[in-house]
Amino acid sequence: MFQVSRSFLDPQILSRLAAVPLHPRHAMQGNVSGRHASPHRGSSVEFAEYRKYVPGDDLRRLDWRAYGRTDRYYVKEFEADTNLRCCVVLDTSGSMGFASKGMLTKLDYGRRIAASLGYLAAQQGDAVGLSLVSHQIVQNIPPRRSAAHLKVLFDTLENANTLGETRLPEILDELAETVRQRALVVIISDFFVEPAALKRSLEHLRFRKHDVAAFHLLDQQEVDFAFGRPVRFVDMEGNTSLFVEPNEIADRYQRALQNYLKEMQKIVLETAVDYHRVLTSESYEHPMMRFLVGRTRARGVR
Amino acid sequence: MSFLQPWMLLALPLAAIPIVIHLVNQRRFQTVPWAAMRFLLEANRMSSGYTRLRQWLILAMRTLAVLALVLFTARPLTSGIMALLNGESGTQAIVILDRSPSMGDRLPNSNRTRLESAIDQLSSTFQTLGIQRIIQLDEATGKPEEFASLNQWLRAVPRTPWSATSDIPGLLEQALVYAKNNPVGNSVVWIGSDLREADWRSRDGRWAAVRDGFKSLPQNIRFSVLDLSSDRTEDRSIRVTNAQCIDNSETPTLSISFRIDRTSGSDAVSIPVEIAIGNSRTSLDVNASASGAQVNDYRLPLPAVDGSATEGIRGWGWVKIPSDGNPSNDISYFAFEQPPLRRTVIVSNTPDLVAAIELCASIAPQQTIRCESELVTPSQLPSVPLDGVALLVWNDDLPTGDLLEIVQSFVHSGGQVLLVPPENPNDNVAFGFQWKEWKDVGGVARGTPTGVDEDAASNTRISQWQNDSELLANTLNGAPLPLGQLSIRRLCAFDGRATALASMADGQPILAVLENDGPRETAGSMVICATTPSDRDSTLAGDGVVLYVAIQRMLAAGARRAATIKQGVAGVNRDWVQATSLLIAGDEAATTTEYAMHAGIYDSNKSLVALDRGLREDESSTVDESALGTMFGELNWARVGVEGRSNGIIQEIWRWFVILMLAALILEALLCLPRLRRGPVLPSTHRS
Repeated sequence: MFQVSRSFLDPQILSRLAAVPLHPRHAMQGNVSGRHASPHRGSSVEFAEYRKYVPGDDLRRLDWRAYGRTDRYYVKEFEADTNLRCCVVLDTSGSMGFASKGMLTKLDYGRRIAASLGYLAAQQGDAVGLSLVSHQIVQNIPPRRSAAHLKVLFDTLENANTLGETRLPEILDELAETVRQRALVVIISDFFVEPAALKRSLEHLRFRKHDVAAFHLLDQQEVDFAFGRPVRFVDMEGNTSLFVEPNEIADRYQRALQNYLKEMQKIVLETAVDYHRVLTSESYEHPMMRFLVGRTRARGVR
Repeated sequence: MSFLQPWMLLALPLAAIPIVIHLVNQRRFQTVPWAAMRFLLEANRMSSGYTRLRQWLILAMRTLAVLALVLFTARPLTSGIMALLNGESGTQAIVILDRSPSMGDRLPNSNRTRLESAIDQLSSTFQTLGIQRIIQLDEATGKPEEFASLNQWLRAVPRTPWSATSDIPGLLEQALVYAKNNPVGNSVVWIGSDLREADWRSRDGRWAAVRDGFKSLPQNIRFSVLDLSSDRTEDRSIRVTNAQCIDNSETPTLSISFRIDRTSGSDAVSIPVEIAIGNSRTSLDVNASASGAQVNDYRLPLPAVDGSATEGIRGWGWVKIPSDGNPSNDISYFAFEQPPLRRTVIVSNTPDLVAAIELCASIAPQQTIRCESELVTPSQLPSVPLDGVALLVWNDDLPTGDLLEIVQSFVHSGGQVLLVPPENPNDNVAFGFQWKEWKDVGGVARGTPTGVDEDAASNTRISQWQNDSELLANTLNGAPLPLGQLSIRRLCAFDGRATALASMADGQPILAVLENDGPRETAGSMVICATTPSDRDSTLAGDGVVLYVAIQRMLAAGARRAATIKQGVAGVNRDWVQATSLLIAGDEAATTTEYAMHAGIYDSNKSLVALDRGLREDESSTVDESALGTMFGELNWARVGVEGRSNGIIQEIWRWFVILMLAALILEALLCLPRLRRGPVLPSTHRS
């Protein structure tokens, strides 16, 4: 079981979040039986359809009552329930280390979301995996269901550090190929990448029938850009620095930010990504709750 | 621009504080690790024109605000254009003060006259500008007076107007002479005046000389006209137009005519007028219309003052109305005397020839005037006293020897001489003049038998005469004398330096004034009549109007030499009154050297002199801006102290700097306001 002493886990928040089950928006393809809809027929109690008997079918599944009424052989099929494979992709590039004074870094914030998600998934018997990515896949933990696995997950999260520049689109492409189809892929990042490239990666994930969710983490200072005196900005993902008179550039910065956010909005609409823009100044409970409740409403079809 | 606290200008460098802060701020940057670098780089690539301009504007507004604050604390002073004028004025000023009577008008809501206001404003200005050396141009003495300090000038400057009309172009000529003769450097000529046309004489030909003179000076002389013409209130003035003694009854009386003028009255009012004759007073109420009133021939019995049987009657007096805003025109002085006897002495051996002249000289034109004539032979002349004689008619051979001296002395003392040709002129020469022979003009006169052609008749007519001369001037109603109706049948040619007053068609003078070498001011005139009044020679006697008028005009001119009173105008008849004269009535505060400039009654060399204020002082017209521009032309001039500046030429303008500072701060604040965002920064945070 997890240790209560994990700094990124708040039992009270987890208990509140646990009241809302985690659902995928589409039918998932798990390893074992579970509580989520599967695209395949199975042995659940939920009737799916009748189908003509073909040689080779299990005779135990023939519906004799239907044979009695129609004098034809029909096989009665039931929906299959499966578990959920949740792949959490946490961006650990340099930019995720940014934080306003007294606030959590985006990595810390993302760590809390990832841990909470892992906990919630594990609690309902779903498999959960973790990928720490920056310029490459720093660490990849495939989805598993065991309680011990959750500990490994938390340990990995705890030891995660920011490093390097973001190459999220390429890495998402790689994950789309490596993660088995029909998984819940949750991306936690600041998405400071080229929107066009990101769009291609998200489309790739969608093509692989993954249920893609994205937590877009933004710091309040990145949004407000409130500086009083000249600042030399040093890029956290490289050695670039820029001397700026904030009063002069604030307007244009805001314009660039707005353009970027609109572009992001357009991309997530086009790629049907479950998109959550989050300011790190708010408690992570709120975006998590919105995420879970939203999925309850849009509970997936088979 | 000048400042009351100029030392505060030492703080002017503080205006650089915003710039210094800006520069320090540029160096005092902080280093911030930044994640959203892509937005910064993108923003850096965007156009920054307006933003950069805004930043510079903000910096400029901040600098301007500090600058305005410093200037405000220094208490700036200005007088509009005068601020520029005073830029290089140095520490001296040339002052011209208009001391005409109209400058004695009191300003509304103030006890100060315009002259006092001018002095106060100039004093305040000089003190503010630090002017120490003041050159005051004095119209009375005609000499500039220099003062080494402002206090010295304030102690000496007269604060009461005089009665003479100012002569601004004349004073500027004085200033020009002073500037030429003294190293004044760049200076300002301050002219304090109420801009009366009478004082400025905008059409005076001297203005051109003044302009050219100042333009030719190497130094830069500027002119500041301190305008005190505003806020005129109703003003009443009184002026005696005639005062004469009538002595044709047992009780001699004074006939006095006077005029009351009102500048801006609207209703008819009754104005009490006080009349003083010597030490006796009387008063009457005059109903005045909106424009004023005219009182003619108001008669008062003369008290037994200053008169005796031997000296005749003479006296002085004044008329006065209650004081108003301008007391200097509320009184008018006059002097009077019994008109002297107009005596004529006719020297002739042929009484028939001069009978008409004798008759004309004996008939008085008015009841109040007495005339008498005496016919003598040349040999009797030395025994005739000529002291009281006004006209001497000489109808004989030209005098020589003692007789010539007697006649010359008579002329030099102001007597009038009429030379009429004798029947047989000889070769005598007197006064550079000589009679020639008689000659017939030809033709016949009006009323004579016909049979002569019209050309011949026209030759006997006087074809031209000078009606601007005193002798042949038009009558009071403007009609010319009927000289053209006279017919001259015979005339005596003459030789000498003479100015023709009337001439025949062929240019032969019939009436001329002989030039004499006597003093121009006091000498009488010698008139030549080239014919006689006898019917044989002319129709002067038949058409006697011309002869009578000419004889009476010569008598009037000659009678003035016997007069013991003089009625004149202050500032014009300056020679009548000297510093040694005795002031009988008038402004007792006037200094003796300025007697000639003040109205009043003076005893000067046993003559009673009545000086009244300038005739043009009753005109209220003023010169406007365009007229000033015409007068000063291309000279550097400015009009100050106009409407709304009655409290001083120099004014504190700190309010403008406060407004400027506030405006700069408000503008800076507006520029610093963040732009309104059209929507939330995070328009949509969730999409599922």
